[in-house]
Amino acid sequence: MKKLVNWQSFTAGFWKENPVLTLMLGLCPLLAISGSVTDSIGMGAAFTFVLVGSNVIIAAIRRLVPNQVRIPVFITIIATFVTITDYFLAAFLPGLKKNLGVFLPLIVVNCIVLGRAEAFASRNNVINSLLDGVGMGAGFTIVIVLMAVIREGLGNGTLGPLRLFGSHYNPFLIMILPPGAFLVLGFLIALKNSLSERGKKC
Amino acid sequence: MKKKELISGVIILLVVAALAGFLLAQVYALTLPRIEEQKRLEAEGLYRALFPEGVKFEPGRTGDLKTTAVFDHSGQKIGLVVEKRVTGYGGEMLLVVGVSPEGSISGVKILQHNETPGLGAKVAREDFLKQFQDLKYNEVYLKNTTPEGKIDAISGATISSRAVTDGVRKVLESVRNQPGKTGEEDL
Repeated sequence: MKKLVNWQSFTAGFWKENPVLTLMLGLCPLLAISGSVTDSIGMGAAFTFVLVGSNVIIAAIRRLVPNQVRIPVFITIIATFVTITDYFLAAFLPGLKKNLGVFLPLIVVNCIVLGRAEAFASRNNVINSLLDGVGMGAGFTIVIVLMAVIREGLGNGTLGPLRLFGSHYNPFLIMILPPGAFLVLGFLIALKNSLSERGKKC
Repeated sequence: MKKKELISGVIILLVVAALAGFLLAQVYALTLPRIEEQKRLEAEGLYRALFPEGVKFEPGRTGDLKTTAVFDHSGQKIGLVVEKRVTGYGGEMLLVVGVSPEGSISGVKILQHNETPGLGAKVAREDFLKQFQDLKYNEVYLKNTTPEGKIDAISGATISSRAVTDGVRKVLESVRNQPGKTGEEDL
């Protein structure tokens, strides 16, 4: 673990320590936003930006921060990145900002971001923390977009601007409603677990 | 030792907060013009929904109400957009009323409200609001309260319906009572 560049920290987020499917963190924006593919891509990007930014800064100052104040310091840094994201979205993508609504500022208290700050960035060097942020962000984005493809595809017959099935398609409405989010997430976790099991046996 | 740690913690937190504040101030100043621009575009989209021919918009006031005069491409004034806050069942609502130069209604939108979902919140829907289309000042009453009234209240949501109806009528009243209201006098 003490290597300068450890590629494990990059790849962990995709599968072995996928923040959503394995660590079960950050489910709140995942369940709420995954009804729309476009919003999910936006959420994934905003989330990855915040995670990478806060991970890098926290890793850089980790030796300067005494233990007693580390949580307030981390939260301040995370909140700064979230607010920057908020301003930029308001300036350049107001539609996306409107759709993400309260879940954009709520990234501040997202367990993945603070969790990675605590568990990884405060103990590792800047490069590994950067890789960890990118990997975890990508892991989150892949899952949220995958869920959105399933939910929006079945529940609304569309993928962003694309119509999938033509006008006669009778949408599978529950997918776009909140219960659909839980159903899809449950199936994805089950699928991931069964694939991991199989991998172990081989 | 303990005390020293405490002081260094306070100093670090202070420095981090100060840097964060400085950075945010910079980003805010950088993005503010774009954010204002986006807000203006959004407002103009709303004005165009009420007056599709509108190309030029000029903010002003009618009495104590915020208004925006709308002009078409030949510079002719085609209407007035008036913002009005009224109190509904769940608190304040923000109405936006388009008034034609003849003093009738070109459209009504509700931008903000806190009415009960499934009941009062229906006043923000198009099938309630389109009843106001082309009505004159003396027709903007609920049907069951005034003989010339043309507005059907939403059943179970009389208070919300009345709040919107009264608000829209008050807008027409203040526009009527204003000298040079929507005519050419103020051009």
